[in-house]
Amino acid sequence: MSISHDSRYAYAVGRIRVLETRLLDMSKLGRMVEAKSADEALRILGETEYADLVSRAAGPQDYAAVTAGEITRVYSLMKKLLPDEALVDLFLIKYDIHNMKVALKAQFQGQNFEHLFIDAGLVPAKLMPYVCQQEKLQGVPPEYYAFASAAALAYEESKDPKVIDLVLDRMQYSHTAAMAEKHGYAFLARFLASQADLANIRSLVRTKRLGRGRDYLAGNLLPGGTVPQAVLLEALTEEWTAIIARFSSSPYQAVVEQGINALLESRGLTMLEKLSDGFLAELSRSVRFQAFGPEPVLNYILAKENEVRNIRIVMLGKLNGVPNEEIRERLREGYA
Amino acid sequence: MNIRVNPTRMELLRLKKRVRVAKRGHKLLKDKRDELMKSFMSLLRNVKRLRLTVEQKLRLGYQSFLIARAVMTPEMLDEAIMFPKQRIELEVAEKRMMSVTAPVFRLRQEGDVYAYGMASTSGELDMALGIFAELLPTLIELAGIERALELLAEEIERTRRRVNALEYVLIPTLEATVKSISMKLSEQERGAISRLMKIKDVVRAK
Repeated sequence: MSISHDSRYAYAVGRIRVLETRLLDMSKLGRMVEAKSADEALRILGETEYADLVSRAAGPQDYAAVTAGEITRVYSLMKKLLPDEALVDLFLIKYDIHNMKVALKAQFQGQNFEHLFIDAGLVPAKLMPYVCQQEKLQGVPPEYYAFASAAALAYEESKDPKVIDLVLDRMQYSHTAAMAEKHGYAFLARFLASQADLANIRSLVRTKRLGRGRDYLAGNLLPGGTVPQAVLLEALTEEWTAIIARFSSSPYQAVVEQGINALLESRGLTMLEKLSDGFLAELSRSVRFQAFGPEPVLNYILAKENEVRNIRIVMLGKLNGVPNEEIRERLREGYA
Repeated sequence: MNIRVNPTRMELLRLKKRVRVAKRGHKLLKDKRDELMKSFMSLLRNVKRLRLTVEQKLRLGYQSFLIARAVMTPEMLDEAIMFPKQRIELEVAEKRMMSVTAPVFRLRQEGDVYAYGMASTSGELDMALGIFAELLPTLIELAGIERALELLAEEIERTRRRVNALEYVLIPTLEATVKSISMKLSEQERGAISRLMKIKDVVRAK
């Protein structure tokens, strides 16, 4: 494992060490899970770093605004702390791509879906329809025009709305990986490769469960992973046990084996997704204690994204009367 | 309670005919009510079975959808399903059962229900949409049967009221009126006979 010794991040890492102590650990989340109602769960959340956002929330059903507000706050704080904004920008690409998907799908349906925009990306969400129409705007990464045009072209050819997602998902991953490499974020590049691998494994399992063919899977595979796409396509025609065996010597062995077994025991795909997230959390935790370099910052941002997901799981579970045990089962491991 | 009519033989014959018709109608309506009840009960059993299946599957579907909503942001979830490529055509025909016109739905589904990429979505969304898509024809069938059941219930209620009206109001009233006219006519007959006898006596006395 290459260890970064970039002292430019020393101040940010120092601040991160303090901020990490404020992350919601499993005991705090556990208290939220044990709460008698969604109101009480929100009140417990209000005793943490989320106090300000919770005080502005209209009620527990407003949890999405709380989580969205927190994640936006974290991104802008990281931008202030870091010597280069590029690292945070890599986390914002997914919001731009999401907005691009919304803008293109809205354009092709001739409807207004502005409420689905997430205004957290590099490009203001309201400008995305103009980017999709190839109007040159300042501050928009030039690659975005190519992405929008490729996705639009793919849709025009197939008239299948799914291709917009397929094209843009692939482009998002390759663009993020290329940017990470360009800025020399070696760990992030490795992290993204694992993320692509796990996404591809999940697509393999989902495609097989749906009984779809190689073309369906091929369309959903992301570039940049370490598991060759040919291996995944071959695995599609195999039995579940053979697929587990195929990954027995890979780092994803536990994820694949336990995830597929849970699916075969009719426990759905939650376990596979939870294990995938757990694998990435473990990978991120492995570089958490580096004194210098962007890795601890990266780990903190990932931890925050994970924390927000966990809050969503708890609040939604509480609002819908899901038993505590089931909520606990779905919670993702912490990064801290 | 009697009907206010002239106590004449013509009226008596007319009323007797009405009693016969009312009794026949009463029997027919009673048979109709029984048959409606039979159809209602058989549909009810069918609906119970279908409802149970639908509710069990819907519960599973919503459970998966809930997990998908928890692991994805609301906007990303909505984006995944904002542009469906499945087309649904619903034809409505009519089916008559014992004077009840119930709708019969015919559903045609075309295209794939999974109109999104897998990289940015949860597998639980596949599960939820798969269940919902599989359930839709049953759901539409259930809607048709439940509507038929509703219409049958209304018809049963209407027929029951008619049967009761005939049985407890119209037929007894007509019969009472027939009886009263018959009595009046007998009384008139007796009066006429006694008058004749009196006249005969007067004539004989002379």
